[in-house]
Amino acid sequence: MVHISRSRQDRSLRDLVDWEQGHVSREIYVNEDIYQQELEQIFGRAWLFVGHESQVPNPGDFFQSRMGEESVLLVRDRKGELHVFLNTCRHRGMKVCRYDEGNSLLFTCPFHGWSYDTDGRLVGVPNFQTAYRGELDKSAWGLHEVAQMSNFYGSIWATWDPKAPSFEDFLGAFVPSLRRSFEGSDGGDNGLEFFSPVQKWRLPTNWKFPGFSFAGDHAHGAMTHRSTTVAAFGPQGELAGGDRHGVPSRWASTEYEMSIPALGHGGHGRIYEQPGVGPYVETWQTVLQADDYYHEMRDKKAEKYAGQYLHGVSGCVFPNVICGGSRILLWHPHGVGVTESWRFYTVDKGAPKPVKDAQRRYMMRYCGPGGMTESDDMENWNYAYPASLGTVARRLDYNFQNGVGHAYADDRVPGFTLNYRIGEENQRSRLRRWLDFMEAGSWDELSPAKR
Amino acid sequence: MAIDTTQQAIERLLLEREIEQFLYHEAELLDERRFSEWIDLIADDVHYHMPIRRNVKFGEQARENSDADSEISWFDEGKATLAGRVRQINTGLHWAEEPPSRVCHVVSNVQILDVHGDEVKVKSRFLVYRNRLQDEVDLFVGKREDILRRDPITGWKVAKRTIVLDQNVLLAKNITVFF
Amino acid sequence: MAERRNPPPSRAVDQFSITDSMMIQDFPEGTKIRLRAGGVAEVIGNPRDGAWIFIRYLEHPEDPSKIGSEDLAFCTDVVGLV
Repeated sequence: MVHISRSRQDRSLRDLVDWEQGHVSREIYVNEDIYQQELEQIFGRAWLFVGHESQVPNPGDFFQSRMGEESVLLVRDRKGELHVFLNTCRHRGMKVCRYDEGNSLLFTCPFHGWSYDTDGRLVGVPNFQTAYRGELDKSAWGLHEVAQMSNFYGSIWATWDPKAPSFEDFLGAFVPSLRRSFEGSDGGDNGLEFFSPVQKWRLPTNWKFPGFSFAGDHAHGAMTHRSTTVAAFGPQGELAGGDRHGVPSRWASTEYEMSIPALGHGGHGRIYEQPGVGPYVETWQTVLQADDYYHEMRDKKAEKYAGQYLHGVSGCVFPNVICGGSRILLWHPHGVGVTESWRFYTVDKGAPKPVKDAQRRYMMRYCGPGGMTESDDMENWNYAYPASLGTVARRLDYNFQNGVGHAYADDRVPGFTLNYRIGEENQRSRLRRWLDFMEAGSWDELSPAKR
Repeated sequence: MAIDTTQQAIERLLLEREIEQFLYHEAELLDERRFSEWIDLIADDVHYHMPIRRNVKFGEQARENSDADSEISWFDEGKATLAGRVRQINTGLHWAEEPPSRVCHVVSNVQILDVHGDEVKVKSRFLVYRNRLQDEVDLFVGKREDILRRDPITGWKVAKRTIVLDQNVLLAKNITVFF
Repeated sequence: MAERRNPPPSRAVDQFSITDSMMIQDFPEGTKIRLRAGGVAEVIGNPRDGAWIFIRYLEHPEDPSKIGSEDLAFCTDVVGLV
């Protein structure tokens, strides 16, 4: 049960989120009780992004990740199987691993020394024969493992809820889009590897500002990122007007907001008006090997997709991750007014070193807290939060009306709803799914998607 | 470096003083937001690198700082990108620095590690305080290792700068200050 | 299950015995160690956590059937080098 501030006692969650009309109470972004319920209802039940198999290639490799507010370990056990465990000792709760990544034979708690094998089994209990008299049932006290884990073309996802549907059913019509987010640039499945380490930083705002806005808010670009064109830091340098993105395909296409409203997934999308893959456009004016490489990869992709109509949509998966564009953007809740942002960068796993270097350096100057683009996003997400906190301010609704009533289906992209490229359809989709999760008593009411 | 004559000791002292004054001058330009003058102190072939610090096991310190050759850092760039950042700030539309932050660079513990021809390897500590709008405060503290190069015509230039920030999760929402 | 007495730590096992709680994290595989309970074992894996080492029993005075079997030994159970 949500206890909301006195002025809101007469409003249910449904009254707070009128996504049909685009009226959304600020309360859902600033209310502590609602936040606590999100941790339970959303982060305790939805499929969440954990990492990528390339981060743990060898037996014993681990990566300390996070689900919601809680630390988890992505581990490849000694037999080669992947696991996701809550990073807490079953004895007194201490973290069993405090390293960001590495390789280990055991996870040993530094408090009393309980120790777990890479498959989660409790194998070491000090004084087991003497003090415990050999009576402790070690098999019942292994590391707590997620209810379900999925390896989706190399990307690792997990949920705490045994009743959640399969990850593919959670994605629904979004499966092909997300699958392509993990393709190499030659169109091959599971074609990426992740760079190390992860950029992590704290952003003083509610997780939904970045989580629901990113790649769902095309309208911000022209204003928020006005200053970046003079910096000309895109891979093409000062060509193409110094745009921060690469040079786009010359094939005719239309950009849309593309979402799956019943599931909350979606993002910016582009639909080409002819089948296949457009001719290569020289992009990496400053790194010649990169153009040679990506040109060759484009030709392979064109063979694979010959005759097929392609659409590209940024891989925003409800609730808090965006996959694609050589990066994974993950927004962890860290208190109602703090988000811990995690940024993974990706590259074709077979790319030659000069290409990997070019890609990596482009991402660092573009993205993350030091990136010339996103440093400005942080400022806006930051200050939208405290400006919504006031007694009077929080009585007001946010306006999500951009494009209300103009969404439509399109046979070319089954399962998606389209709207004009600058709009708030994606954000309304996420809010709609947010409401479903917050109201549903269990996955029985969430799957198949309501309505 | 062994000091065996008074003359060498005096030369050493003068060099230390000159290097310190250069680092203070740089800090002054940055704090006064004279970025266009600051970028002129950066050599054309500079490598400007701020690694990410990992939590690693005892004995694995070699992996603690991310590697500029193959890994992800907070910054890993040359002069073209640094100059782009200066142009961006100078638009007045870089919202993360508009209105401008109040920034104070404190540089200390200056140590000359090596002198090699025209190049001097210098280690120092930094404490960069950023205060913006009403009450936003960030503190960036760490070590720097620079290679400064003496240009006979234009004076000292920063030829290489490694900035080792003592944080794992960055506790600021962004990094829009120079170090 | 019958309670077992915890035998007093064996001291002066040999000249390398520093204390009854050894710094085991640097023991390479093949190191032969003496255990508090009286047995002798060989290190077969070291997680380098300073707490545990994987061992194979070479001598086991209480239960000779354990010779050749593998186990984990806790740092305070290791009393010396052989």
